[in-house]
Amino acid sequence: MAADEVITRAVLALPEEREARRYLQECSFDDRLVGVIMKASGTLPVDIYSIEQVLGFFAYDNSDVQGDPDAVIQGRRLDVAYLAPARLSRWIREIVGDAALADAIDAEAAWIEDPNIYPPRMRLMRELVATRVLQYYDVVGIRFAADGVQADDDAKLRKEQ
Amino acid sequence: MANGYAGKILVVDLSTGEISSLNTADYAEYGGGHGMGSAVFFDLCKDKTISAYDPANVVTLMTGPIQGTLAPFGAGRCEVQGIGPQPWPIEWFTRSNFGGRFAGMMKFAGWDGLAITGKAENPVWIDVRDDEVTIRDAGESGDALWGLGTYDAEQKIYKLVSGSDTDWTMFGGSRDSGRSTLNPAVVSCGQAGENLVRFASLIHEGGGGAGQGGFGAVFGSKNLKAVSFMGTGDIEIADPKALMDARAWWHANYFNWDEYKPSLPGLHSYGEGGGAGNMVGGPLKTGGHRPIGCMGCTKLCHGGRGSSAEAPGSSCFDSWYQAQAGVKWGNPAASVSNTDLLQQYGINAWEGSMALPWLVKLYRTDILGPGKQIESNLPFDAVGSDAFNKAFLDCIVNGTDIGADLKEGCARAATKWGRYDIDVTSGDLAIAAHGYAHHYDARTESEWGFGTALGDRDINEHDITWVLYWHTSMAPLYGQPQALPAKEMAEMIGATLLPYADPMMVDFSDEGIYSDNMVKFVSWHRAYTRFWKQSAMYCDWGITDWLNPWTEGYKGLTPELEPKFYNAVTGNDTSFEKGIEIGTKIWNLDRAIWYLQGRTPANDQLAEWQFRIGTPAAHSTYEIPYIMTVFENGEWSYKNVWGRFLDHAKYDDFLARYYKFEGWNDNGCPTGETLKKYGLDKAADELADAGII
Ligand code: SF4
Repeated sequence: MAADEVITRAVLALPEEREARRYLQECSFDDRLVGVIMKASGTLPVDIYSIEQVLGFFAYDNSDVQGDPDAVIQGRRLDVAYLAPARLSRWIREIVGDAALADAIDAEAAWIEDPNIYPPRMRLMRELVATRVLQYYDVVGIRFAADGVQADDDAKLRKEQ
Repeated sequence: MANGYAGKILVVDLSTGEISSLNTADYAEYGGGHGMGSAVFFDLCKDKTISAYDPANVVTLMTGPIQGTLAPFGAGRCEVQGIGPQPWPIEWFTRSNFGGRFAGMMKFAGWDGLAITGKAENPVWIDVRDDEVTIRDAGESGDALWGLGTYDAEQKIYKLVSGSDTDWTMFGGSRDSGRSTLNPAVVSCGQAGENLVRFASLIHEGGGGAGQGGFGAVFGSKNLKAVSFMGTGDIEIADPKALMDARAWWHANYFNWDEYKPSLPGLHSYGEGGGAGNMVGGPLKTGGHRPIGCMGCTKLCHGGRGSSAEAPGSSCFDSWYQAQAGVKWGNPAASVSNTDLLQQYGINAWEGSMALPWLVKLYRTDILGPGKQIESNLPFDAVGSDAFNKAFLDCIVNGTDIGADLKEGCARAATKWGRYDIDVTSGDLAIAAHGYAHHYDARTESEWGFGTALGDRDINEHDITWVLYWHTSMAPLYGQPQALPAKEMAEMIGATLLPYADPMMVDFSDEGIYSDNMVKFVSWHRAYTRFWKQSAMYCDWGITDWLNPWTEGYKGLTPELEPKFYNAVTGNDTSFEKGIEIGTKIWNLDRAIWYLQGRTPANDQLAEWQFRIGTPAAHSTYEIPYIMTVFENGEWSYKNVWGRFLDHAKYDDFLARYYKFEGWNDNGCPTGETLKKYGLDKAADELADAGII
C-alpha cells in the first residue's frame, strides 16, 4: 500500500465543543504515552502528552518512504515511529477520553490485509488521528493556515485562534 | 619499510612547548588506533589517578596502517583517548572516535598519531604542516580562534594555513617538493570545550565528531583550541596489487552497485549505499543534499550538505537529540539550526538526548521551574522550539541557570539535586552505566549492556544489533519472512566467532544471556571490537558483515574482510583470530589502567532501573518488537525478548564467571599472570607497585 492510498472507513460524528477541548488537553507525566523511534543506530523512547503529539511522533516515521515494503532496504535511513496499536487505542480511550476514536482505530485493523504489518497500520492510525484532531479544531474554532515555507516539513501548520 | 605506517608519533607538551616523537615501531604490536593509544597513554601518563583536567593528562589521536589508504570505511577513522571528564563516578581512561579525513591527512603529513600533554598558559592551537610543527597563539593577541564555534575556527584555520583570504587553498611549492590543494584537516573544540562542559565534543568538518568522553573539555582544559594537519606526502603500502584486488573483491561482494537488490526478504545489508545518515526522511530535512562521508568510504553516511549549509554532515543522534522533547510542540523535524548550534558549540548530542526527557519530567512534575525545588527559568513551556534549544544549549555552555549543574553531566547534576537514586531507579533518567545514556538495551542485548558495564562508556558497537535486532525485528514488522531460519542464522554467525566458532554464543534467551556461552561472547566481542574496529579501525558502520544479500547463502564477508585489507597494507600475515588475541591484550591493558584509577567490581554494575522494569513507568508501557535468536527447549527460534529485566544475582554470577574466563581476580582486575601472558609486564608491575594485585 503506497502512502497516498490510505483510506479510512470510519466516519466519526463531531464531538461536542466541551469534549473536544478535553480531548486536546495534555495529560500528566504518569499518564503519558511512550512511543519508540526505531532506528538502526538506536531506539529512542519518546514521551507523548497529548493527542496532537501523537501526530508529531508519527511525523518522524518514514517507513512508507517508498510506498512499499522494499523501503526497508533503506536500512539505516529507516525511522519507524512505533506505537503498539492496541496501546494507542487504550490510551486514547482511557486517558484522552475519546472512545469513538479508539473504537475507530481498533475497527480499522479489520479492514487491512494483515494488521500485524506495521507501515499500513501506522498510516491508518495517523490518518484517523489527524482527521479527528482537525474535527476537534473545527469544533473549538481553531483555524489553521499552511505556512508553506518548508515544503517537506510535516510541521507546517500554524495555529491562529 | 612499506607497511602503511608513517613511522612516527608526534608528542606535544603544551606546558613546555617541547615537540618530540616516538617510534611507531615500538607500538606496532598493537596494530594502531586504540591499542597504540592505550600503550602510548600508559607510557606517557605516569600517574593514572589524576583527573581529566590535570595538565599531566595525555590525550592521544591515533591512526593505524590502513588510514589514508583505499581500505574501505577505514581510511578516515581516528581514535581519541585519554582520561575523560564525562564518565561517572570515576573519570575513566576512555575513548572516542571520529571519521572524516583527519586521520588520512595526519598520515600524509608523516605522522601515525599525536599525543598531547601539559597545559598551555594561554589559548593555543597546533599547526602541523608535514614535518613542521608549531604551537600557535589562538588568543586575541594571535589568531583569535578562542571563543569561536567549531565551524568558524576550522574555516579560519583553512585560511591561516593557506596564507590567503580566498576560499581556494594552495599549499606548498612545486609538485615534487610537496604541494596540495586540499584544505588542512582540523579538529577543534567549541565554546563548550573551552568552558569545560564535561560532555563537550571534538568536531571535525561539520558532522565528524568525537562525542563521548568529553575530549572537547580536555582540549579546553589544556587551553588547546584546535589541531590542524596539512600533509603532502603519501603512504607506502606493502602490497599495492593485493590492496587493489581486495578493493575489487569487496566492491563485487559487499554491495552490488549495478544490481541493487531491494527485495530480499527481511534483509537489508550492512553493505548498502548509504549509512547511518538520515538523508531521506529523517529529522534533518534540508532540502536538496550532497552526501558527505569519510575519506575512501563509499557509504557516505554523514547526513549530507543541504542548501542552507547549516549542520553539514550531521546525522544520527546529532540531528535527533531533541526529538524526545520536540514532538511536544509539533516540531518533529529537529531543525537544522538546532543541530548547527549543537555542533558549533561542540556538545555531545547523546547527553542532551538523555537530559531533555528527564528535565521535562522534572518540569511537569513541579520539581523544576521558577520557584521550584530546582530553580530554573528556562522556557520549558516551549520545549522543542528553536528558542528553547538556544536557551538550553546556552545555559550549558555558559554555566547559567540549571546549566551550572548540567554542564557537569546528568549523573553529577542528578546527584547534586538529590535525584539520582529516585530517577535512575525509575528509569526516568535513562543512564545505562558510568553515567552514560542508555542506547541499546542491556536487558535484551547483553553483549551491548554487559560490555558497556565492563568498560568505560556506552560501547556504541552496532554489529549484533544490526543483524539480530534490526533485521530480525524489521522483517515481521513489514510482513516479510526472516532472511534465514533462526538455526541457520545462529550457525552462520557462530562460525565467524573465531577461535570459538560456537553458535551458542548468540543465544539471547532468558537463560542464555547469563550463560557461559554469553561470557564467551561478551569476551569475544570486547576483543573483536578493540582490535578490528578500534585499532585497525574499520568503521563501526562498515563492519561486521555477517549477512549479505549478494553472496551465496547470504554469508557475509566477515571474517575474510578484516584481515584482507589489513594484511595487504601491512604485509603482515595477521589472521582474524590473531586480531582477536591482540584485542584481548588491549582489553586487558585498558582494564589494568582502570584498576590503577581505582576501579572495583561495583563499577561493573548497570544502573538500577535495568533490574526493575521492562519498560518505563508510563500509563501505556511501550512495546516494540525486539526479536533475537534464542535457544530454548533444544531448538533455535526467533523471539521477541522485549520487556524482560535483569536479575541481580544472575548478573553478579555472570560477572564472577566472566572475571574467571578473562583471567582476572575476584575483584575483576587482570592478574599479574594474565597480564604477563599478553606481554603487559609493565602494567603488571605498576599494578603490583600500587598494591592492587
Ligand atoms: S560508514 Fe559512514 S561514518 Fe563510517 S567510514 Fe563510511 S562514511 Fe564514515
